[in-house]
Formats: sequence, C-alpha cells, structure tokens
Amino acid sequence: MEDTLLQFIRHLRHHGVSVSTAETLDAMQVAATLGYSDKALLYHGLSSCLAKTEEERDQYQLCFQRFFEFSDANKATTSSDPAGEQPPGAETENAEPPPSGDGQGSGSGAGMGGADSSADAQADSNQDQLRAEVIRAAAEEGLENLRYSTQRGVYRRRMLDALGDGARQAEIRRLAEGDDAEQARGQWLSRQRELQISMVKEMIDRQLLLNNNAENREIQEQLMRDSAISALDQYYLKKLPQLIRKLAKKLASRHRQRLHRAKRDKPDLGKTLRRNLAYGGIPFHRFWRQKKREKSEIFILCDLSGSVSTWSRVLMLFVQSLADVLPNTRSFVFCGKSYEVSDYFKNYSDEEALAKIQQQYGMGGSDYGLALTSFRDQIIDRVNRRSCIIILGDGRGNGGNTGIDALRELYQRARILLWFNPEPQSRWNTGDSEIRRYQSAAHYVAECGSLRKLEHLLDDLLNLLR
Amino acid sequence: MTTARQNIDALIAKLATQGYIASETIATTLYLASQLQRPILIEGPPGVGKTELANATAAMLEQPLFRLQCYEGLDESKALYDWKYSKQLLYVQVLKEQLQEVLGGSNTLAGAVDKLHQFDDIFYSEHFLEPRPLLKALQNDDGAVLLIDEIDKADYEFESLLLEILADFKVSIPEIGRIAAKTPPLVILTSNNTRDLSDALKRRCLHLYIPFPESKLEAKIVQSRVPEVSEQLRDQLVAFVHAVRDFDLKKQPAISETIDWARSLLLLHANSLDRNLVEDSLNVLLKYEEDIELIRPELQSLLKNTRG
Repeated sequence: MEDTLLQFIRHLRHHGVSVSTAETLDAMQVAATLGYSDKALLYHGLSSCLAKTEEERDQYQLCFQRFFEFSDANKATTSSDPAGEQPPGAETENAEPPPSGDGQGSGSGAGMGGADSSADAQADSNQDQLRAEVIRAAAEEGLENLRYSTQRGVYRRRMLDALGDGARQAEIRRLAEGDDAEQARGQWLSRQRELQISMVKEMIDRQLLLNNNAENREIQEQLMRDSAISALDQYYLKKLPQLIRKLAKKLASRHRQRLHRAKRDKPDLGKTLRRNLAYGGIPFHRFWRQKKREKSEIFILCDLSGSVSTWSRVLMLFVQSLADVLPNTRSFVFCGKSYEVSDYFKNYSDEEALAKIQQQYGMGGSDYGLALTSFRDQIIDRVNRRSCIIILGDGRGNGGNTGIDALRELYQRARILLWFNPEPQSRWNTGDSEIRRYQSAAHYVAECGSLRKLEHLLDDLLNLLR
Repeated sequence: MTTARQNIDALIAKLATQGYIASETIATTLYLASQLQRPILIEGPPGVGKTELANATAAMLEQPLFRLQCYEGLDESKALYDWKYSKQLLYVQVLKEQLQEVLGGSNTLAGAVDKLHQFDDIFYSEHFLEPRPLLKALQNDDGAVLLIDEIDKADYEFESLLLEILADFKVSIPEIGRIAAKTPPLVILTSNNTRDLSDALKRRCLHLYIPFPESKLEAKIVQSRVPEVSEQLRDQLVAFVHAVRDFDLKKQPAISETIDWARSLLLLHANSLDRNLVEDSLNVLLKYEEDIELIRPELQSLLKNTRG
C-alpha cells in the first residue's frame, strides 16, 4: 500500500505539486493513522499534508480522483493480493464521499455492489477478470513509464503480447472453421478480445493523462522561458501569465528576506542616558536607534505600439507579480503621450488590467519624443537619487523626434535608468533605431529577448536595490 | 467503520457542544494534528472561524489557550521571552552592599574578578526570565493550545524563529540552554493569506483551508450561534448571503457577518426577509459603501430568489 502512496506522490510531483521528503513521511504517518479503507478520510487527511496552496489543492483533487479511480480497479480485482481488501461494500458506504470520489463507484467497483440479475453478475465478474488480466499485463510491461503519446502503439502491442493475444487470435481463426458450437465460442472469444483491447486502450489513455500532461508542461515551460517572446504564438501567450507568476514568486522569495531587515539597530546611548536621568542614570528604559529604510521608487515606461506591445505586457505582469518585494512601483505606457496606468492594476486583476490598458492606450505607432517628454513632466518632481526608471522599447521612433533631452534629464537625476530592448543586439542601430543615442542617456541598455533574460535582469536589479 | 472515523465523528460532536460546527475536513485535520503532534496552519478568508476553532478546541480539551497576535515588528522579546531587565537592575542596586562584602577580602582587581567568577550567572536564571506566550505554552505541563494568530502579518524573520518551536517544541535560550515542553502544546497558526508564507514553515505544518461554508453547514452554524432565529428566517438569510457572495464584492460577507446579521434581524423582530428590512440592515453584512451600492439595485431579484 505504501508503494501506491509513493506512486501517488510521484504523480503529484509530476503535476507541479512540490512534495518534500518530510511531507512524504507525514503522508505515510497520516495514512497509517487513518487507514486506507475510508476514502473520504484519506482524501481530507492527505490534503492537509500534501496540498499547501490553493493551486496545489486543485491539482491534488484532480490527481486524487484520477489516481485512486485507477488504483481501485487494481485493488478490487487482484483478489490474490495478500494486502487484504476491505469488504466490497466499504467504499460505497461513505456517508459523504469527497468530491473526488464521484467516479469510483461507476468504475471498477460497479460489479461488486449487488447482483441485480445473475446474467449481469456473471458478465460483470467476467469483465472483472478481463480487467485483472489487463492490469497484470500493464504491471508486467511497466505501463507507468509511459510518457508521450507517440509511445501509445508500442505499449499497446506489448500489453497485448503479454495477454497472449497472438495465441487467442489463432484460436479464434481455428474455431471459426469448426461446427456451430465452436463458431459460437469463437464469436464469444472475439467479443472478449475486443472488450479487452478497449480496456487496454482506456488504460493507456488514463496513464497518458496522468503522466504526459505533466511531462509536456515541463518541456513547454522550458521552451517558453528560452524562446523569444515575439516568436511565441497565441497558444503559448495564453499560458505566459502563469509562468511569469511562477518565476516572479521564485525571485520574490529570494529577495524578500533582504528587504525585511530588522528595524532595530544599535542601542542609542545618548537617549537612554537622557531618559533615565530620573533613575540616577541607571538604564531602566532602553532605547535603540531606528534604522531608516530607504524605499526606492520604481517607474516603468512601456511602449505599447505594435512591435513591442507583447513585451510590455510581459514586463508589467512580471513587475506586478513582484509587488511583494517592489512595493513602490508606478507603471506608465505610451504610444504617443505617456499615461500612468498604476490604478488599473489596483482596481482589476492583472489580466483584466492589461486588456483594458491595451484597449485604452494601445493604438498607433510610437512617438518617442512626445512620450519621453510627457513622461518627464509627470515624474520629474518625484525622481531623486533613490529612484529607478525602467523603459521598455525598441527605440524605433519612425524617424521622429527622439526626446533624448528629456531622457537625459531623468538620467541625471535618477539613481539608475535602465532601457530594456527586446530586439536582438545585432539589429540595434539599424534602420530607424535610435538606440545608440538612448544608450548615451541610460545607465545600461539591456537586451531582453526571452523570459530567462528578463528574469536575470530583474534579479540583478533587485540585488542592486537592496 | 474504522476507529479513526469514530474518533473524528466524536470530535465533530464535541466541537458542536462548544458551539463550533466543524466540517469533516476540519475535524480530520484536527484529529491528525493531535495524533501526529503537528501544528495546523489554517488559511482562509477573514471571518470563517479560524480563530474560533482554536478557542473551541481549547475549551473542548479543557486546556488553557495562549494567544499570540502577530503584527509587523513582532520580535522574540515580545513573543518568546524577555529578561526582567528592571528586576535585574533593582537587584544590583539592592545587592551593592553585599557585593562590597563579598569582594572585601581581595586587594587586587584580578582577585576580585576571580571571586566574582565563583558565582554563576545568577542574573540570567529562570528567576529573571519573563515568559511570553510561546514560552508559556511550552512551560505548561498539562498541555495547552497555542494560537499564533495572523502569522502573515509578522515579519519574515519571525517565521524562522517559529521553526524550532514548531518542529521540536523546544526553545533555545542562549543563557540558560534549551527548554523543552513536557507535553507538546497543540499549535494552531492562522493566516489571511496577505503574503506567501515560507516553504519551511508550511512543510512543518498540516495545512487546512477553510472556505466559506456550504449553505447547509452555514445554516447549522447560525442555528448553533443564534438559536432564537426562526427556521424560515434562517434559511432565507443564509440563502441571501450565499447569493450575495456570488457578486464581485470588495469584501465578501463571512460567517461572522452572517451571524451578526442574524442577531440584528432578531433585534428588529423580523420573521422573514423583506426589502425594507434588508436595505436598512445591509450595512451589517457589507462593510464597503461600494459593495452596498452594488447590491442595492439587485435586492428585489435576490430576495425573490431566496424566497423561492
């Protein structure tokens, strides 16, 4: 039974639920305390030590449902299993089955409930036997190693071989040439065979659902991190926010501790002495210096024009997800004039806010002259030696005014002014790109072609700001 | 029927006598926590009875409840222990004379220091130790319930401080050594999820998420808390609250608000919900003007549905 639990935990991990060794041990203890016979209890109990965030809970519920539906079949039919099975009625006895358990009764256990008519019961027990054979074959051939849908055919063939399908086919062919009784038996056998083949198929499909999705997702995430955002198609773009949040969470947890430094510093001798004069200089009350944390404000200006708007969305989403460690962030967008959009993120969910911003401001080509000048006018009063400004754009102003003077003014005031350019470096300064001029008025112009690069950039930035 | 199942059913019944209606998930986690001696980390929206669970558990076990309310800037001198600094100073003043006598025999500075070394660190003994809630809970020999409320409000460092206590039920005090609990207390942490807690903390705890209850359970809770309310009104108001929760509100009404509302309707001698009554008492249920504005135009249809 412990193997089953371990396998279940492996599946959870595949599905992105992080389960540590200690939690695995906890789960074992929980299972030992509660026993395996009561599924509802097991569901609640394991959830308390395996699923520790909201997303994980959803995944857990899904996995529990899929996994234990499957392993029920395993349990109910291998009657030779010495582990000792609960009485057939036990699983249907639950007064209040967990949401996950809905499918269990209709699956394998269906034949065990009661005998409505003897013929049905016979057919059912026959089915159970067939299923038991299939499960044995699956175990022999290591079906749990199935990962990709392209392996489907191979495993199907292997399992059928393990079931002795070749011999059976020969038998069917032989019986088809015999007398009536033999022909009837041949037909019965071929029906059995079809039934079993469909069972094999179903089992392979279920295993694929369990393994394949998870595996695929990992590969997909890897791909999405490394490839240029502009090259991703719509399908991947939809999945991007989830990944960004995950990356941001990682960054935030790495940097959070540093930002929350203790406020209490060394003892304030002078104040302590002064305040304790009344006690003859004996320090009954102690006073500490207060550490002043300098909060740096971050301004983000994103180009919303067609060529880089996807990137702007990614950056804004990333920064919003980092709100935990970057509390004072103001976001601006521009096509022509610059507008502040921080309020959108306060009032709406991130995706909604992005959609609204795009709808409201995302029209036309970029006019850097107007954008940078209006940006400067809005924030110049707030920019000081603690401010950090990030501008995202490709620096292609369509030959118009560059607004370099406004940028230089900001550059001289701010602690750091970064320019993120989504274009690959080889294309800088080609055509209408003015990036070389902007380079002279920015501390650093960085190429941020993929999520991974952006992640590194923000990591460095957080290091700098601490 | 397993013994675990029986124990958990008994637990639900016992909690019910304390006025706490527990769902099966809650009872299972509580049972596991006492069996495995693990802390419980409870998350969920405000007002679903996270703190109340600790109160009810303490009352049920007839053990004292130690409550530590977390806030930003909370540190070990307020949570764990502190030295009775003033008492130490006072003793020094009082004992000045004795000090002269003790040191009287020695002429040299080195000799005096040697003599002083013969005495232990008397000023850093348990007599001068001021236990705070965490230490108090550990020192209670007959077991206790320790409630660490709203852990998400505390600083990140404070979580690290808790790790030793939660894992081993021991506290290291540099001057004294390690103090271990004779009977490990039942620890309950609550969080409103205003920030993510560290994985290290989560891994040491059993995790319990308390969502808004289903209407059946909520009706039961209202019945146990405000038994005077008629059944008709109870069903109506629970259905109404559930309908209200489906709207995009700034703050969704929690169980505590449902109970408050039931109480106020009782004061108004209401037997069933009608439009005027609801409109006048809506501010008990909803805490933001925007939310009230949002619900007010929908009242008619909401009420129609709840009556049906």
